[in-house]
Amino acid sequence: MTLDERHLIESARRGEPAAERALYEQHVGRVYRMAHRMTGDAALAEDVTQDTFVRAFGRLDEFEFRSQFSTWLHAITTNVALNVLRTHRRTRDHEQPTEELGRLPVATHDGDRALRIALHRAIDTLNDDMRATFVLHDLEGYTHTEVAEMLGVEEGTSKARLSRARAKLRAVLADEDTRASRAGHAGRAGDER
Amino acid sequence: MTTDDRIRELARDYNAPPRALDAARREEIWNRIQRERGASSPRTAHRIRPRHRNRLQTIAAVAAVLLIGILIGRTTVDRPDERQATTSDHATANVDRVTTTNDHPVTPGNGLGTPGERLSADDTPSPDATHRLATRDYLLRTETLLTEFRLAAASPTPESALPGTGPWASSLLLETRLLMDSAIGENPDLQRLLRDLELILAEIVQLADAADERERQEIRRSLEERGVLLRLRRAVPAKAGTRGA
Repeated sequence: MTLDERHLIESARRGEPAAERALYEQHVGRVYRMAHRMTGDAALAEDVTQDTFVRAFGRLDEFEFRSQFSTWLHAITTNVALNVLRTHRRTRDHEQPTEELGRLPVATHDGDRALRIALHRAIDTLNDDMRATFVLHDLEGYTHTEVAEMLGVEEGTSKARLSRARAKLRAVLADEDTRASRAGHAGRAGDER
Repeated sequence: MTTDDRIRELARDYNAPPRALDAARREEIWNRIQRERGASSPRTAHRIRPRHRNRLQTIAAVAAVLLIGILIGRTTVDRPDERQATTSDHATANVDRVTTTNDHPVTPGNGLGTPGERLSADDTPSPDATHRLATRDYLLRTETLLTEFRLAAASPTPESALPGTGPWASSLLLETRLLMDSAIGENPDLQRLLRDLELILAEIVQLADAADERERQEIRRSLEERGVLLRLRRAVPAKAGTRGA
């Protein structure tokens, strides 16, 4: 943490609006991106971003400078996002049964793009804990120590969750590869005839 | 490239925002943060989308009918006691003329009356009186839930101490929103209290599915930081629930 950031945090604790605004400007981009990663929805991501800063400014006294400020802030983001998703999912499930989602056709059969869509859907089906761990570690680049701190679990739990998440995604990838391979064979056989 | 590398590569743009927040959106979010912090308003209220509000309004309307029915029933059943009270005690009064007990003087201002407030035997309950009684009853039940929640959250085995909290909180949340939209919710102090209660009850409802220790402690802390229980107790005199006190 830079001296400037420490100074900003201490000033914000004293309630200086300029310091709060500076902290907001420094971190809002990443917070929003994380929120979007977790929710997949721009409006929800904005709500999560808003709540994250409201909570963070309200609890700035609890930040003890033992970790990066960004890690602390992103921990709040993750928790707020998971809460918002739980609420949102309950509502959404009333309106659209989840089985319907599984039956939606893949939009394209264009190689990697189809694979990418299938994988993204598979990530969507991971439970919240596994998905958050996968997103934070594999996509956002946090270490297991940081992920564990953010999610309030042991480091071993974070590793186990990531391992299970990857195993599920590997299985999806293998299925898609097999399907693509069969489709390729069928296409070539048709051409030869 | 390993399979895991391939997965990372394919997932790289998973839920990535199509574009970064521009200056206008950042400013808009900043303004929302300032409004929320300034007003100490609920984090959920503005977020209720219209289609959800419609469903809530339908449920709220059903709850309102039930609530008013129960209250009318209660006031009817209480009448013999009230008659007795009118002969022996100067405390009988129209609901708008509140009575006091020695240890609970009238605290005007919240519009909810006092511990001794009763309906007179000959009075037909006006909608206002019914509304105030409903509010007081609601506040008492909410205080009970939050007190139990706080105690349970502090216990060594909170999971076992909190069964059934979700549906209870859910029903109170519905009543909170109903009251917020009602005339009694126009009292600024009460409106602020109702907003805080809405937020906390919504968090408890969510917690029922999650059973997350950190969240539980966050709610407990939120309760304490906002002084919700204290404000609840101020809004309802201590013996408000004691019939004929």
